[in-house]
Amino acid sequence: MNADDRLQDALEAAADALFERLDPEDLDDLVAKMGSDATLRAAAVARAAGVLTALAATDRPATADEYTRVIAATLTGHGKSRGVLRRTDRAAESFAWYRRFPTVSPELLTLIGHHYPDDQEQLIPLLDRSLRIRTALIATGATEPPFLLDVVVPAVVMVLSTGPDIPDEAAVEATRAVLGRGTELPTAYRASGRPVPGRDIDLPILGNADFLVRMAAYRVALDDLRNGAGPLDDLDDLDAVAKELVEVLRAAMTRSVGSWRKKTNAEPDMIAAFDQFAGHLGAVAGKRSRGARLVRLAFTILSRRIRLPRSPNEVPINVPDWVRTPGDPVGNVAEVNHLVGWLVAGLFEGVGADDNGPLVEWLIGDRPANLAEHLPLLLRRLRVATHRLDAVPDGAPPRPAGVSLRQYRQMVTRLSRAVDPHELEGVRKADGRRVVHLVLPPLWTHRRLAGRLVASHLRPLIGVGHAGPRKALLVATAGSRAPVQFVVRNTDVASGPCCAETEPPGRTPRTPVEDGVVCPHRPWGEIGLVENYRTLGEDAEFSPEAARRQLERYQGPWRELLLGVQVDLSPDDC
Amino acid sequence: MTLTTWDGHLRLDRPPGSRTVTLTLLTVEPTIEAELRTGLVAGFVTADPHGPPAFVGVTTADGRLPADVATLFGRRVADSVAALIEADGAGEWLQLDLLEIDELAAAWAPYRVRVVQETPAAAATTVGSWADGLWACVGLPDWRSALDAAGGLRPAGQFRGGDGERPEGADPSALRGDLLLPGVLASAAGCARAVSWTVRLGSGDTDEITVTADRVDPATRATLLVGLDDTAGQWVPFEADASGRLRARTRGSGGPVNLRFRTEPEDRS
Repeated sequence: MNADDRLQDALEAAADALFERLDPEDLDDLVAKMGSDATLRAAAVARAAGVLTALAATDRPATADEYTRVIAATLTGHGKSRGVLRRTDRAAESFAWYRRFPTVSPELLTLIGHHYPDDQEQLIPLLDRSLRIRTALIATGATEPPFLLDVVVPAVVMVLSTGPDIPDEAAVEATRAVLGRGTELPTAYRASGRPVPGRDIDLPILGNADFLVRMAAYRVALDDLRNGAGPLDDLDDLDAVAKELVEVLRAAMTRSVGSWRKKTNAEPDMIAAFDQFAGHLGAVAGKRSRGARLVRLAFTILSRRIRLPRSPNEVPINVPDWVRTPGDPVGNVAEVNHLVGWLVAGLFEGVGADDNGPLVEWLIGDRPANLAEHLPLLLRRLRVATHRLDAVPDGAPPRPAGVSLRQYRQMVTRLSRAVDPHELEGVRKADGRRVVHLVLPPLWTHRRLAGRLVASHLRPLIGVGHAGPRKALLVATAGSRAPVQFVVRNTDVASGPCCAETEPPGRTPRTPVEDGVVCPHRPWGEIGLVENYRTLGEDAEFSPEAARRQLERYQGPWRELLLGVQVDLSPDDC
Repeated sequence: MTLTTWDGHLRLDRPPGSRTVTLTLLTVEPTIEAELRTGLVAGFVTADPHGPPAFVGVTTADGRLPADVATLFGRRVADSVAALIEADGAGEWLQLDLLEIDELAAAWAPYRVRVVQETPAAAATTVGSWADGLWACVGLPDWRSALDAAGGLRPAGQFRGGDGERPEGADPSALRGDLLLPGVLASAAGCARAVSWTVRLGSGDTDEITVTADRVDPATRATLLVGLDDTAGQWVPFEADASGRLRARTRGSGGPVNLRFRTEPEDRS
């Protein structure tokens, strides 16, 4: 193989690596513009090769590590020229710009170019520096909750960008000072005994006045950073800012749903509130710098909030119920892989490519950092995926968007290894459930606690109206069942820890099984405790009949938690 | 994306120039707070009947947390507070996991009931965890005003059940009543749920409070203790008297106070 061929291969690999990490919708756009996958790749690789040739003559040629970035530089996301740039010099310019921001990944650069073309000149440097500073802060022992760093750091960087250039070390110090001041102020404010703004009015959604004061405190700290004001009047300032923030939130919250931002029912007003906080902090940088908008965007990107299905699910479902597969082990290995593949597809279904980190971490991470942080989301995915596995298509499972081939192989291999192929019976539905039960890494250790966490996240979404909090707990309890734990739709008193239903006459009566053990009495492998309306309703203090009504009629957020509980509910309804 | 107490972002703060330590579990949900006693304020998420405190403000004495509050915080949080005071730090963040949050929630349950949903029924059925034992918090009426109201004019003045009544023809400076312990706590202590109390006025602030309970399970290997919910945090163990009843005696000074009961499992070693 000659050098040209090797270069061609390397660039093609770089293009593939980038494309598979792009949001599928963005990739579809590019492909549509260029005609096909192949023409897109060929055009990008050809342009990239041109860029490399042009750079070879300079004192700073591109290294192999930078090839993905070179490919990203050949793409353009806006205007008539959407697709691959036609001119090599433009691509080279773009690459020269991109390589100034090494902390921003090529796929993120592409995403920004695609969705925020008018902001990219400011947004990319803002993100680059924010990422560097956030990393430096964490490396030097900052223990702030991540979301606070995600909202405060870009705001500080934005404010600093309006002044003279300062080195990173000084910027890190400035950020540390803002973070410190922002936590001191609420404490002093409370100690001063002032009435907390917003305490007396019911904010429609964001009801915690202390939290609001905390956000206002960062704003005061940023104002001080910008104006160099002394800390003398800070409590008065904080008072004023908090009142202002109450108004900002009130305005944002009382707008009708969907009018100001495209929202799915997974991202209601809570997101609006956090966006308002970010914007309010960014506004310190001044109107002309568009600080509010940029900080809001940076916060959205940094906090990597997971987007749930924006478009309806397109995985074709063709139902080969109770299909028998050959019983030989070789065939079973293929079947295990097939089922695991579809399980993975279900978990990732509709999750944006830039948002799937927690899922990847859960499925292949050796030591997931903080699973509880993403528990509500993972649970919702789990419910969809296990439900999908009740009707596994015959076709090959798709590789999820944004998961590289290497990660995907690792994932499937790792999960498949947990199944002894001989355990499969050749009955699709039963095997699917067995596979779900066997392969998934532990997600929570205490179901009750998982339910409480999910309920606490559901409460602000449902609202505190009639029985809202109890409804949230009921839905969360139902949703935090084990992967293959069933709900029998009746209100009987459970006769034992497992077997809620009486057997048809003439069969052996069921004996209870331990949690986590497959019930020997049901052909499809029932796991652990079987729930019914009575058991589900207990924690939230609903009578069995009330629990049944609530669960059957529930149309609220995170409805996928009730897959397998609500009759005929399909993931596509959620 | 939402942020609630169950996410476990805990902030410890020491407001400058004060002996207070505050704990805040970040949440966007509305909270309600109340002063539990002098020097102890706690806030809870209004809509969460199972949650941990979202806020605790506690006054330190001699640079230390009151022992009872330290117990309720649990080892890790209490140690962090101690280290913070030791280092004279202004504040720090702690990340609690779900189990730690649940332990906080379990420990503070009797206070949560008092702050969020005070009803006599709830108070009489709610237990919290206390180190290896259990605890409950039950209110006593303001006995000095109760006695004043009776005015000593009606020597056998009657008060309704939980509000205390004066023993027939007895000392006009004494008041007695019954209260109910949560069943779980009573059975852990091996005694009956109904507990009677007598307050005898002393001089100054040394009213004598006697609490007696019927032992129902002599084999129980846990000690029942009682104490006033105050900063001193003194606990008096119940001891069997001549008649075999469990009896404990403590001192108070009128005003509506809360009695705390707790069990201490016998050391197995």
